Amino acid sequence: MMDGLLQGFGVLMTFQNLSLCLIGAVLGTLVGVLPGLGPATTIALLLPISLKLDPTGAIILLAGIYYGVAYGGTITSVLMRIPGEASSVVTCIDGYAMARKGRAGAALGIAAIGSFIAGTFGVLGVMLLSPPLAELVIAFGPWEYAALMLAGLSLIAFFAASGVAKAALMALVGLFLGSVGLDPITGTSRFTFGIPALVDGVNIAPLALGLFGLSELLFLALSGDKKPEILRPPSTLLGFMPNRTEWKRSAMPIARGSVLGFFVGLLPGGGAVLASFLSYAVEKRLTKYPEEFGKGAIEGVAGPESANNSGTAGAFIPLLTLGIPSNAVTALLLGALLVHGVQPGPMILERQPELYWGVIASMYLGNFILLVLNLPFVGFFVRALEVPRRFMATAILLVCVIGTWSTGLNHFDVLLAAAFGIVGFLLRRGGFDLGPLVLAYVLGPTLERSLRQALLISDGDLTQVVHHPIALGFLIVSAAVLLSGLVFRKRPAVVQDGGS
Amino acid sequence: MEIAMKRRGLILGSSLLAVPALAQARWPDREVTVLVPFGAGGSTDVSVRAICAEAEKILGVPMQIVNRTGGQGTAAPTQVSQARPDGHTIGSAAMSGLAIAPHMFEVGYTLDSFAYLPGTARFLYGIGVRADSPYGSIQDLVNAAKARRITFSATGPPNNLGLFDLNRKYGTRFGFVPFQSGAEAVTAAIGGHVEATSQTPPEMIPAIQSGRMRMLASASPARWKEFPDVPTLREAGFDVTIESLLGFVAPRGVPAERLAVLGDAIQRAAAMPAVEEALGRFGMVPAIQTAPEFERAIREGFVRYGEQLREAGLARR
Repeated sequence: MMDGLLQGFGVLMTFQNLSLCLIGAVLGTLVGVLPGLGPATTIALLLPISLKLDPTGAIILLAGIYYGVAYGGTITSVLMRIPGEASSVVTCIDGYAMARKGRAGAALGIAAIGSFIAGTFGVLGVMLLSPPLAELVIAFGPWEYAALMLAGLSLIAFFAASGVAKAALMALVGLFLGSVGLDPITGTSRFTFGIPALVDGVNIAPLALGLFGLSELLFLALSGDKKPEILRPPSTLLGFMPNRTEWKRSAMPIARGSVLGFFVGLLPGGGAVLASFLSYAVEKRLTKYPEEFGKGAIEGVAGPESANNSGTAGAFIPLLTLGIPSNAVTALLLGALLVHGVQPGPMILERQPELYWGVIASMYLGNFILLVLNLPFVGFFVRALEVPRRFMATAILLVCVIGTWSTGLNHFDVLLAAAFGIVGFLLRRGGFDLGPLVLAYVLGPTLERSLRQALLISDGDLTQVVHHPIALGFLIVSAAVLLSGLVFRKRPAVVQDGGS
Repeated sequence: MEIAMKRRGLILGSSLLAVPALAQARWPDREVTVLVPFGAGGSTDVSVRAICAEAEKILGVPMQIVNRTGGQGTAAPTQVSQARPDGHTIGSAAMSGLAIAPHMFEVGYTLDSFAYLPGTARFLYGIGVRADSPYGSIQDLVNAAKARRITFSATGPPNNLGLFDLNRKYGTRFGFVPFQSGAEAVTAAIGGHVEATSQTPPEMIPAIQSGRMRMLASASPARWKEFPDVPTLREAGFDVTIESLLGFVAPRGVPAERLAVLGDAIQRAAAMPAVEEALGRFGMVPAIQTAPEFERAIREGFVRYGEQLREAGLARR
């Protein structure tokens, strides 16, 4: 293995591959910062260009974009409450609250450091655990996915800051939004009202940008000319960094997020998004300061931001060892490999060791580059908060509209985002949490598809689940989560997740 | 919006070129845009890029590939059908968008919305089981499916229609379990969650080569070149094939002489060895058809798939 890694660094130490690693990381950060423009779109755009490169170089570049995005996605979530990527939605909650308390630098700093630790941990995992974990992926069938998604949904019990009934209602709305589009089994259209743009379902970009970004804009507009509450950021680099207490409180969330995200990221489906929500729920459960969650708890940033990074690394295991992409981005990477005539699978280590180890080595270096790139810019990004509110609001609007438009080149999506903006504003004013809505929207389609697949396989017999121990395990976990979240929880102070 | 902008460009372009001396110039005089219904890096995209890379050498103008995804592969044909019929906007077309999707949900075009260009390639399909499955041949599998329900994974039509046809003609009970992507379908089969799969080479070949899957039959008109010993369904005695072709269409109303120029270039390009190699990486084979042959194949496919989808209960009402 050490030989392999050394060979990998040998492959990496050419001018071309080093530059590609750097370009990938920088591009990834940029793409992460720009809401709407996601890694899938960018990689698709760059794929034709990457054909001019050798396969190792091409994958180093494209993979760099992929894991770089998980770094950049945090920035707008913290500064503007606009999720840069779906996997940073949950960061909007406490990251933005921290920014309003003047701790934007700490939030961004801990996110970058957590991302680095988790990303490096993820690559280590890919290197050491690939073959056994590939078997785990194969062991997951429809029953197992359905049960896993159910366990994920049970997490809303922890988001129920506004009360169980409200959270459940939001989850139902999310499930409904996730069911728009073609029926996953019969392929006929549902709730599309004859609108062609809805055949592919409600896109995550208008949903997330509308509910979080545009609704915040309405709050800003309503708050009038009040002075922004942002404290003047310190002028030294160290002043931006998390302080001692924040470090101490973040250490365990980063560790837990790294492990959690890696395993969830392995599995096809909502990988990074599920990982970030899961980590948030776990931290909220374990923290000594539950009353701070929703008001700027650093654990709520450190955990999820670590989880979504190790998740991106985890997704490389099924891709490289089985040729199974676990999300849209790795599907594109698979396409890139095939275009170059590289057949991923267990044979890749024997047939193309220079590619396998070259990519692994580039991921170690890439994560380091990202850390070095991101930290010094934290101060720069935090200064953006000094921008007067009327300019900031215009920028938020512009970013949301362009972000929505760029994902599908579809004006319907922009209208949809506007509608979600108003809905999000009203819901937040009514004291509803938007977390359960997004979580249910992301998990719902996989839950429905897997459950219906399982029922097709068993010919409609729900009791067949007893033959699937992994699935049973998840069901027990969901029950336990629901119980501990609903029955045994301390009565929380009602958290108003609404603007000013 | 996008179309409107393109139109403005066209008007500007044609007014600049409205000089008498140039009126007789060779067509095409500027780039041809090719709309691809699926994203970059997939089998359709790569095949179309390979063909167009050769065709633009013959035409002498660039062919610009635009990935117009959405609407389950129907957004691109919709845009082609609405484009200005001057031959500068064409699209790649396959059975899925033209002959299958209209049976399943509402689309903004009919088969008469297009002028047809040549067909270029054929998708391959195969039937596989996991390596330790008790079924060693396609006959074993079919016999088992006559005795009891056998589940199989596939993405949507046409991948699943081969086994539906077996059900119809030979009284088997294959139960279709849909999966979102080919990779998930194949994984479900090698994990033993379903008993068989009907998919395409890019996902099946790694599973077979790593010893996790056994291929029982090619569901296409020909055997796969990677597994020359595995028979086609037809050779095994079952009158069933899945036919899906990749070709090109233009908006209806493009002048015949322009269609001829484009058609000639596409047909010659598709015969190049570089194209065959690119197709092979994504499990496709060249299948060159003249424009009328391609049109007939699509129209026949539309009728045949319509019947099969209705019988399978997958067509919209």
